Amino acid sequence: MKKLNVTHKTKYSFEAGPLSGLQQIKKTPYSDACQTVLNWSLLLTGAKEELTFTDSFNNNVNLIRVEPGTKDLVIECEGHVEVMDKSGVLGYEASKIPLWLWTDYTNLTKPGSGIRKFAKGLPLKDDIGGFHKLMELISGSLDFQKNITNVKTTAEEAFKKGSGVCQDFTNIFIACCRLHGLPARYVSGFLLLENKQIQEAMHAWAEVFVEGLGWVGFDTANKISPDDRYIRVAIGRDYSDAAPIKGVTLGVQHECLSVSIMISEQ
Amino acid sequence: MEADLVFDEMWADGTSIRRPYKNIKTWLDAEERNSLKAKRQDANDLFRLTGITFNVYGSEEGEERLIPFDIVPRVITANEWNKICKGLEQRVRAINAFLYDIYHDQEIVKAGVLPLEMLRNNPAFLLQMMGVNPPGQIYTHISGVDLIRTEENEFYVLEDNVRTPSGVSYMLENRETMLQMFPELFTKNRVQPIQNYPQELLYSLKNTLPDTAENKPNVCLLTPGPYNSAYFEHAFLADQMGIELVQGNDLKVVDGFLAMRTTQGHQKVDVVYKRLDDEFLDPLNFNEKSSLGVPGLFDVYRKGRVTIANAPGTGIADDKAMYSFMPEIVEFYSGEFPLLQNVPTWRCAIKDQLNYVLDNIHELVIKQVHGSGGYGMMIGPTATKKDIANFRRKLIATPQDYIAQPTLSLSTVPIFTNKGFAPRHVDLRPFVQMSPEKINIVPGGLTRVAMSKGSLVVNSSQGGGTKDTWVLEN
Repeated sequence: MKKLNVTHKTKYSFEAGPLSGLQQIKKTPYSDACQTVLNWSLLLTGAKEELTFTDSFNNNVNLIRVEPGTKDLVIECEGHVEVMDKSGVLGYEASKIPLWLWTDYTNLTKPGSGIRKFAKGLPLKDDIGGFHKLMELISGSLDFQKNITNVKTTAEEAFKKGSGVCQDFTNIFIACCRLHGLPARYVSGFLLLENKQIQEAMHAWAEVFVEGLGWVGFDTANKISPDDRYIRVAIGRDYSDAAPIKGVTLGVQHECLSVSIMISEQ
Repeated sequence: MEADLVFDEMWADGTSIRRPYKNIKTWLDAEERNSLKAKRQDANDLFRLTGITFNVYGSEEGEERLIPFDIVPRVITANEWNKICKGLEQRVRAINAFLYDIYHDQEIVKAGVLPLEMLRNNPAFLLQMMGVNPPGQIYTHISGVDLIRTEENEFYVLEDNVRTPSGVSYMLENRETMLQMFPELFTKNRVQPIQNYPQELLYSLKNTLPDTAENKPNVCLLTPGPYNSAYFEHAFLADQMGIELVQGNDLKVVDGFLAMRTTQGHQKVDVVYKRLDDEFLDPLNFNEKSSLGVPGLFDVYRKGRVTIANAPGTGIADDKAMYSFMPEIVEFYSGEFPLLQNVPTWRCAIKDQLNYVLDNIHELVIKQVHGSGGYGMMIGPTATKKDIANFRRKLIATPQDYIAQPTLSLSTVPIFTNKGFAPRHVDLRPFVQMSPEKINIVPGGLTRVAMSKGSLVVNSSQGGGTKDTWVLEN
């Protein structure tokens, strides 16, 4: 068990001029079988909170309004989370989403010819070994490389390019599972890295529903199941459901982003 | 269709008048033809004056059409109506329970009554509604259930409209016109009044408030705007109910609540009577390209701070493929046999049924699963060779998009034509209001008439007309 301290600061600069609009923020973790959120705060500069709610996936969402004339929006999160190492097994949970919904493809996870061919013969079922093998195979065919893909890149596109970041690895893993009719989902969260004090992005991994165990996590980019260094923040069918920020950005030409995430063990 | 199979509501067996129409017959016999013609003209002028028109999609830009109004009322007895009401109430309660179930535990799927395939990839299923608890657990505040009559005691449900049922303004205006043109009719006949509909609707909506509503709840009607085919109705109903008619940009999320811009600043809104498709409701949560909606409205809704009538996601209950499961749905939630029957329906998604439909295409009505207003349908017996070939191709290419039904002999009621009285096919759309307190059904509803001889298409978008509908007092 680890007690992790997280500070997460994101700055959005709107060069094209003032922006006003609503944004949905998913940056607040909730307690579950693997983690207990001891405290968490969200501080806004250049925006005000309208309301908070839990969505259909049980994610905590803050609806915020960027105040008119704002050029710099800053969102700062800070908190402490106690995490247990359960070898990635989250288990069964109360959910508003029936299992079958996790087997449907989405725009980002719809397999094309590349993924179909790749995943067709794989022995994916209730056997944990099969999913570890899948992580190995995806890692073997993909280079971890930034700035090749973006948040709109589909699993198939990333697979064909042969490179991407954690969200691409995750979307491909999910696409392969769904190809075999297995319920799989996307998790956005934080990861404690021993050799890296400041991180520039949140992390992402997948969870698969395995009969007899419930939900089990797989971090394809790192080829392991999550342990007590992983904090779950939001889930969804793919990246777009769990995205840390989503909003109406009509009329905005450029938004520059600087992110600094610090995770440390206490 | 053979004439002797058709039930005429005035002349059941062709020789003797049916009892409920006796007074109508006496009246019509006494009136001069020319005076009736003049009055019919007056009635249509009145409609034009009031501005009751209908924008037709796919026609010349901005074309507004007057819906033809016929002066011969359609008459339903109190007994007949009471039976219909029991059936409607049972059906609407079941649909509301079905919607709650679909957006919560989906017991009907687990029980094997509804195949999962009916929900999977169904564009009318709104994932965002999963786990949302609408105020008062009401999804279908207003339903328009289309009924057809085939015999003295045979009524069938043709369609359930629970997204944004329209047409009630025509029902009200038809009665208003008849009262003005022929006041003496209403002293000689005891007709159940309908003019309270807008006040009853307002009462019903105010009975389904979010917990955050205060003493004087604020209700508004959200319209997509003047280019919508039903805009007249939106303006008319808002006026009759004494509530604000608003478009998306009149509403805004303010301090976590929904608010309306007024000359005195923002005013909190408690109930939105939504006449806008779900897809366009909120660009933050649904179609991000929508400029008609209100960003964040759905977030206020799931927080339980506003009522939306009808609830988003109700469309899952009224697509035409789901319709074919309605008998099972009614039985599953009410524990009773359905009082109102469904028209037998073939689901083209199922191979055997598709084959039957292809073999019998000349005798069937083919309907698009997600279509409405009579668009995307084909009536076998009256279709051209080209239409049939066209639909055959469509059925083979995307069978899941279609259902088929037998061409039922819709009952007829006389209309007044230039050549005298002549029978025309009709249907009936009763309007059902639902609140946690009660179900309220306005006596009668909207009777739609296929104006040309032999035609079965009553949709106003396809040239159909309307009649005043009387439910007699007991």
